[in-house]
Amino acid sequence: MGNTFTSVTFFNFTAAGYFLALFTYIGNLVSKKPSLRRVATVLAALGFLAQAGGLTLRWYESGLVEVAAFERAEGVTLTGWHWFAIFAQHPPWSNLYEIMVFMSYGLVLVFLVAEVKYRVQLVGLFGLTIALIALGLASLTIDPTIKPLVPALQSWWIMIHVISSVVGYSAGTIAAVLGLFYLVKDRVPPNKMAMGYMILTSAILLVQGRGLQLFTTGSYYAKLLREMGGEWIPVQRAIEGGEMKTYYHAMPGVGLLMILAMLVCVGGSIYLWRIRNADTPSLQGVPRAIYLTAFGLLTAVVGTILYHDLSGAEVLPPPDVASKLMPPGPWRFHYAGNQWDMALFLVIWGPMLFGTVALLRPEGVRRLLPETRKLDRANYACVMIAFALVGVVLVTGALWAHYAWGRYWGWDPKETGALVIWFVYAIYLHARVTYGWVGRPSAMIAVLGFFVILGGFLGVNLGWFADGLHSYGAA
Amino acid sequence: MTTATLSPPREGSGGMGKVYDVVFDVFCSLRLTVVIIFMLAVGCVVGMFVDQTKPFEDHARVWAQTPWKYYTFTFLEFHDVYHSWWFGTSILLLALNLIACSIERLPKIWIDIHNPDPRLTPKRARGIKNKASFRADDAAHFKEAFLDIVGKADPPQVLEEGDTTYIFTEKHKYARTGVYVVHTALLFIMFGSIVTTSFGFDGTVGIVEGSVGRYAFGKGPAGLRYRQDLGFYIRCTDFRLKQFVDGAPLDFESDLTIITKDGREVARKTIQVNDPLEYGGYMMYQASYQPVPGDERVQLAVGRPGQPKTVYSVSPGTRISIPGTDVAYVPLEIIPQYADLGEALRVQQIQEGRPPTSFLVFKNYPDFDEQARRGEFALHYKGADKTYMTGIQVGKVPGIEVVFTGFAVMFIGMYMAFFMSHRRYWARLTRRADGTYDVLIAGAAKRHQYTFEEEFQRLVTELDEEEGVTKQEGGAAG
Repeated sequence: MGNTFTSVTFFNFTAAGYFLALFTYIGNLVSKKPSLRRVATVLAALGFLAQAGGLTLRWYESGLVEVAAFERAEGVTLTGWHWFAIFAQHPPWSNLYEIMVFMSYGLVLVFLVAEVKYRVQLVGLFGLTIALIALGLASLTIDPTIKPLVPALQSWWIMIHVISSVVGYSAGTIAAVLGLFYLVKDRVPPNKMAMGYMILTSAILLVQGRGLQLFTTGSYYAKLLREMGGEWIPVQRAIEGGEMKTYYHAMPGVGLLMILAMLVCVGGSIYLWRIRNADTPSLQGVPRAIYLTAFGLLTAVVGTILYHDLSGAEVLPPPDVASKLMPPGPWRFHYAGNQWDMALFLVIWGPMLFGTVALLRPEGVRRLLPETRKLDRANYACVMIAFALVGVVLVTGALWAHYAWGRYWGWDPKETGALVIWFVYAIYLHARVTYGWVGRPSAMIAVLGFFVILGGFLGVNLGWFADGLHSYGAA
Repeated sequence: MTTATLSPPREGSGGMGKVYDVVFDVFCSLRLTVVIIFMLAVGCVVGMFVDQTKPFEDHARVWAQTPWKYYTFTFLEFHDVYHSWWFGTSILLLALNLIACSIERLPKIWIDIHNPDPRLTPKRARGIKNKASFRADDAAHFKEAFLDIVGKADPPQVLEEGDTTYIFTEKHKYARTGVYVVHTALLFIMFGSIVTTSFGFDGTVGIVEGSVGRYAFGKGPAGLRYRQDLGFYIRCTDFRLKQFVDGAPLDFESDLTIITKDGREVARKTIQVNDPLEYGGYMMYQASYQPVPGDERVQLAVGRPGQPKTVYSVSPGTRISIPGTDVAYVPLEIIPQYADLGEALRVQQIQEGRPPTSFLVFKNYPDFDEQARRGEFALHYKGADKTYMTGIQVGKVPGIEVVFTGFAVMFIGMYMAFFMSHRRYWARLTRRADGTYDVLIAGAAKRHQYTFEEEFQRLVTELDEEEGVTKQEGGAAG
C-alpha cells in the first residue's frame, strides 16, 4: 500500500471539508441564502465522515504497529484472538496528536447535533473554527507517527475514558459558544461586553507572558529548535548540578506589544467598569477606541509571533548562553514550538474579532441569532451533557487508576483539573436551581467553563502546573 | 438575578429550638452548596499550581522570605492543600449539606410521588404552559381516550368532586429522586475515601532481581517517609524489560513469589503494569524499574573512522587500551537521558603526554562521534547490560468497595436525573347544564421541554380527532 494513502491523508480531506463548510457558512451569512447553509452542513458532515474513516484507518495502522512491535519484542507470531487483542488495544486517541484530532471530531459531532437539533446559526462558525485550530495544531506541532502504547495505557479503560472526556469537553466548548451568543442576543450593555473581553484577554496575556516574567524581563520567550540527525529538537541548556533545562529565547518586539496590550486591557477594564451600565446601542466614543486599540495590539502580538515562526530566520543566542548549549557545536537555530501559545492567542483573538463585529453592528449579529430562550435551553442541554460525561471521565479514570497505580485518586494535576471542570458545571447546575441563575449568569459560567477546560485539559499537558502522571506525549 | 427561595420560617419554640432551626436552615441551603463547591474548586486550583509532591521545607525555602508569607503558607497548608484543615472542613460541610438537603426535601417529594394531588386547580393550571380546552360528550369515553393517547404511564388517579372529575397520570415519577440518588452516591464516595485515607497504605518496595523485600516505604504526613512491615516476603525471581528499537519500554514484568515469615511459598504471579498481584490485603503493582548502579556492563564499539569497529564489553571505570597505540578509553558514567537525545555515555580519553579529555557518545546517534568530534578513533555506544531493581507499589485500599458502589449508584442517579423526564398529565372535566363536559387538559415535564411540547401538541391533535371531543379555542384560562 505504501505510505501515500494513510490516516493523515484522510485528516487532510477532513480539514478541507471543514474549511469549505466554514467558508460556505460565511457565504451564507453574507448572501443570506438558506440553501448555502444546508450545503455547509452537508460539507461539514462529509468532513466528519472522512474523519471517521481516518480514525478507523488509524486504528488499523496502530494495530499493525502494535502487532509488529509485540511480535518483535516477544519473538512470537500472533494468531486468532491473541492477535486481535493486541491489534485492537491501541485506539486512535492515545497521544497528544491523536487527542487533538479526536477533539476536533468530538467538537464537530456536538456541533452537528446542535445544528440539526437547535438550528442555531453561527455555531457552525465557531465550532468549525475551533475544530480546525485543533486539527491544525495536531498536524503542525506534534509528531503524527504511530508509536506503540506505553505500558500504562495498555488498558481497555482508555476507550471509554477518553471518548467521554472528548465529547464532554466538546459539549462544554459548544456551551461556551452558545453562552457568548446569549450574552450578545440578550443586549448586555456594550461597555460591559467590551470589559468582559478585555478581562479575559488580560488573563490570557498573563498566562502567555508566563505570569510576572513578562513584566520583570519585558520579554516574551519562545523555544528554539536545532537540527540534529534530520530531526528538530528543542534546545537545552546546562544548568548547575549537571541538569538540563529547555532554553527559551526572547522574541524581539513581542514582549513590548504584550505589555502594551495588557496595560490597555487592564486600564480599559477599569475605565469601562465605571461606565458599565451606559445605555448605548453599540460601542461608541472612547470605549470603542479602547476596545479597538486592545484588539489591534492583540492582532499585532499574534502577527509578530506568526512572522517570527514562519520566516525561519536564524537566531543567534548570546555567547554566554551559546557556550552552555548542549550538545555543543555550530548548530542553526530558529524559533518554533509556540504553536500552542498561538492556539491560545487565537482562542481569545477569534472571539474578540466576533466581538468587534457584535459590538459595532449589534443588530446585524442579533438578527442572525435565535431567541434567547432557545439559546439558554441549548446551553443548558450542552452543560448537562458535559457534566454527565465529565462525571464518567472521573469515575472511569478512578477505576483505571486503581488497577494501574494502586490508588483511585491521587490529586494528580490532571485528575484535579477534571474535578475542577466538574465543579464548575456543578455550580452552574446548582446555581440555576438556587439563585435562579438562568440566562445571563448561566451563560457567563458557561463561557468561563471553556477557559477552565483549556486549563484542565491542555494546560496540564503543556506544563502550566506542577508535574503529573498524565503527560503522555506532551509537546 | 432573583434571590433564592429560602425555606419558610418555622414555627419556632424559641431558645435552642430556634438555634437548631437556624443552623439547619443554613445547612439546607443550596447557596451553601455553591459556596462550598467554589471553595473546593479554589483548593484544587491551588493544589495544581503548588507542587503537592514536594515536602514543606522545599516550599518554605521559596516562600518564607517574609513572615506574613510564611504564616499564610503554613496556616493554609499550601504544601498539602488536599489534607489541609480548610479543605477537609469544606468536604465535611458538603457532606452535612447533602444530608440536610435530603432530609429537608426528599420526604416531601416522596409523599408527592406516592400520594400525588390529582386536582388540576385553577391555581395549578396557571403555572403550566402546555394546556388545551375541549368539549366532550361523554366523560367515560374521554377518560379512556385521554389515557390511551397518553400511552404507557402509571395507573391514573381519578377524583370526583361534585360536578368536577379530575384525572391525573404521570411517567417516570421516580426521576425526581435522581438528584438524591447522586447525592447519596457522593456520600458513599466521601465515606469510602475517608476510610481509605485513614486506614489505607500506599508505598513502594524495591527488589533487586533474585532477592526479597519485606518492608515497604510509605509517605506519611508532611511528605515524611516511613517503613511498614508487610509481614511477608516478596521475592522477585526475574525482571524482564521489553524495549523497542529506540529504547522506549514496551512492557516490563516481574515474576513475584510471596513467602511467609516461616518460609512457605503461598502465591506466585507475573505482574505487569495494569495487572497486579493480591495477597494479604495488599495489592502489588508493577510501577517502575531502575538499573542497579555499579552493576552494568557497557558495550562500546571503537574503530578508526570508516573502518570496522571492535566491541568492548566492560564495567564503567575499566580502561580499554587500544592495541598498537598509546590511546586508552575509560567509560565513566551512563546518563539515562541526556537533553532529549536519549541514553549517553561519558568517555574519557587517555593518551601519553596529553591531558585527559572527556566527551559524550549517544546510543541513538551512532555516527555522532565520527562527525562531531573527528578524533583518531570513532566511538559508538551500543548500550549496557544491567541488573534491574523492580519497583513495586504496595497498596492497601480499604473502603474501595464503598467507593466503587458509590460510582455505580452515581451513574444510576445521573441517568435518572438527566435522561429520565418526569412527565405529568392532568385532565379536569366539568359537567355542564346540557350534560356535556368542559375539559381542560394540561401537561408538564421536568426535562426535554421541546420534545414534550411536541408530544403535547400530538396529544391535543389526537384528542381532537376522537369522536365526541372537540377542541375549544382560547379557553385555556383555567
